[in-house]
Amino acid sequence: MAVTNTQNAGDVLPTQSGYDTSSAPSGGPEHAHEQGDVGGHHVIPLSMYFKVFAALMVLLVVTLAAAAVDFGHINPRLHFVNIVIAVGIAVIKAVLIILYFMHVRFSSKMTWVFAGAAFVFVLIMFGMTFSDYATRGWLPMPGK
Amino acid sequence: MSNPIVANPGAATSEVALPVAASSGLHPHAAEAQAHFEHAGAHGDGHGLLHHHFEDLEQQRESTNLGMWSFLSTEVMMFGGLFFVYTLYRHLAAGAAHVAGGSDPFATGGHMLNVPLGTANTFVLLFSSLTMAMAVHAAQLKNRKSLLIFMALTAILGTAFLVIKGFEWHADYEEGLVPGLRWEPEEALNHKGYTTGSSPMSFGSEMGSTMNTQVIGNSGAAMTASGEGAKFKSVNNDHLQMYFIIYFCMTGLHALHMVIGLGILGTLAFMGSKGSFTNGNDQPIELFGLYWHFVDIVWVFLFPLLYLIGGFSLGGLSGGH
Repeated sequence: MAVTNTQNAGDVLPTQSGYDTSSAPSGGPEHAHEQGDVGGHHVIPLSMYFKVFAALMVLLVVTLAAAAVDFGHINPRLHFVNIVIAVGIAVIKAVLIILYFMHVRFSSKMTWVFAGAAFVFVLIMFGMTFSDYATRGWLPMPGK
Repeated sequence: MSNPIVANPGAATSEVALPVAASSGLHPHAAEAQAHFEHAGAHGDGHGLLHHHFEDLEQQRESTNLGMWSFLSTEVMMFGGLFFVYTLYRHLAAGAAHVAGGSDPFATGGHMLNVPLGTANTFVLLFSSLTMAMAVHAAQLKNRKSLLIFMALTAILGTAFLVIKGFEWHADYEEGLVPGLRWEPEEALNHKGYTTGSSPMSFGSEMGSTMNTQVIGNSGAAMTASGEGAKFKSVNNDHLQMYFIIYFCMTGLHALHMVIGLGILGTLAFMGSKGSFTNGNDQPIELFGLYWHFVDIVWVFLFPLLYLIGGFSLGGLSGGH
């Protein structure tokens, strides 16, 4: 898939200006040079943005509908369902936005790592801090 | 990994050689790098965009992208801290309310918020994310007019969000739901069927009892809070205040991010009008897009947690728990 420099006569964009990743010495992430490529990186077709937006709208409606149902009323033990659905849908929305609007789906693995790292850090923070609160009073020392 | 300098045999003559001198690893801050930089600008191609400390545009793009994500990680941690506060206090307050037989303070607080406006704000922000993504798309396709249109749309939507938020906050102030500034919630609470009224059941603070002399009689009826014939549901005044403190802190910090975002957006729009981002240098727009989407994601989480936890019914108040 190497684009040799002799072939760029007909290209709209000068491929050896650095846009062309296959000639890059740094060996950046592999990109398929498809129709939708401009400057060596993916240009996501507008239709995909619209589809994601439509999905987000649907999820918004679902969130509202689910919130209107008080699961705690149906069965007191199902009280947690409300919050699970609400946060769950929010997570799905966030994932859609991250993958498509923020282009992570089409980015390098390194970007995935950086984006995922944020989530991991939050998990650690929640996990550690909650276990602190959850274990209050376990030890006979004050403040423990 | 350094390459010898290679001339490009079939190249279009207007091309300048790849800056391999700079990529040989020596990074000479010498005449070569300088000349390349100047050279590049004159040729009007992608070279002018390549900063000398990067090997090629792809690496530069990747680096700036990762840099932005690093910053967003710090932002996630900042908001994450506040979300933790919310989670912890909600858990504690709900537990206390359950023990005392009162109403869940966070659900009550959620009830006091304007869900239709919150929903409108959610829609506005999601839509603005779409227009921002389209702005990035326009920049990638070097379409200046579209870029400016979508940036303008994003700015309008962002401003609409702030206007609606301001309206909501004003309403909260009028209803006396702003801790520290104006905390006189009893009347607004009564409208929705709650009270902070003094009673052993509601274990309210002094503040709750001294504030509402005229509803003391009612709160007497509310004594049997969970029983039949109770006029109002009892809610702990302090915990309710805590909810609103968290509400204003989180939405306030979010609104601050929106304001900053709008400021940067305006600056970028101004620069974009001069064609700075439609000559191949679309990366700044992409990076700002990342920031804007992040702010949207924060709101996507804020909305259900702050507004919808109490449950709501389309035909008026369902009364929560």
